[in-house]
Amino acid sequence: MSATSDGFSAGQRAAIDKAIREAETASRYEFSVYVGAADGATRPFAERLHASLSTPARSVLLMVDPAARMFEVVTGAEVRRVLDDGAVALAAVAMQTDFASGDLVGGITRGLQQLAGAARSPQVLHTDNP
Amino acid sequence: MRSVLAGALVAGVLFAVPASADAPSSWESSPDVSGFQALLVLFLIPLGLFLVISLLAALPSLVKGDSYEPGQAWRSEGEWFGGPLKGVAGADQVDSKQLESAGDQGGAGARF
Repeated sequence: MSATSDGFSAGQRAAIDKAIREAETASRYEFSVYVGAADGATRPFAERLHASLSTPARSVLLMVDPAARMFEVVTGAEVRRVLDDGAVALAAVAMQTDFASGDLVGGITRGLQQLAGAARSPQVLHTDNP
Repeated sequence: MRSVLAGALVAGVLFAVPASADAPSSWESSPDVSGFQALLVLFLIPLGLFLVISLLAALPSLVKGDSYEPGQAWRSEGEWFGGPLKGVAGADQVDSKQLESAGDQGGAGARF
């Protein structure tokens, strides 16, 4: 039986806050991270969380349910123009590796870095519009 | 001359005694310190302070429980970083109209 925990330490919270700030600075979009149990199905719950943000269209939400071993990334309509679902899926694979090894904080910070990196990449007309 | 100097040096070494002087009478006479008092000040009080400070440092984690470590199961309440002031309660109030107005949401999800 594995040990249990009572939430993040101050240092871990600071690391997640720092990763959020850096992602927002890099991409100019809003990022938020929810870690906890989903109320009902994971995806609809994550979408409700995302919709309750102040500027959902410009926001990216990462929801991790450690107990159910699931996570969701929800992007707003405006973010989605730059950060498409394929790029999110790539970041999800990177996060999946860390989460599977039990490193929640590492997976969250790595995922935010990758999402922000993909969100800031400029659209190039000759490749995006063939 | 050389033998006189050498003799004076040898005599100085042989007859050397520790310097001693009485404390000036204007100084306050220090009280005698018993063995127990010395033990108390030098060992028991520092040990007590060490225990108290260690207890104070460990108290928050004793009260709250251990923080999350990689590989542990999660049993804490949900935490929302960068979320709205209402927290998860705000998400419970989201209706279908608000969800539609959020626009074309995208993203991805996975199990781990």
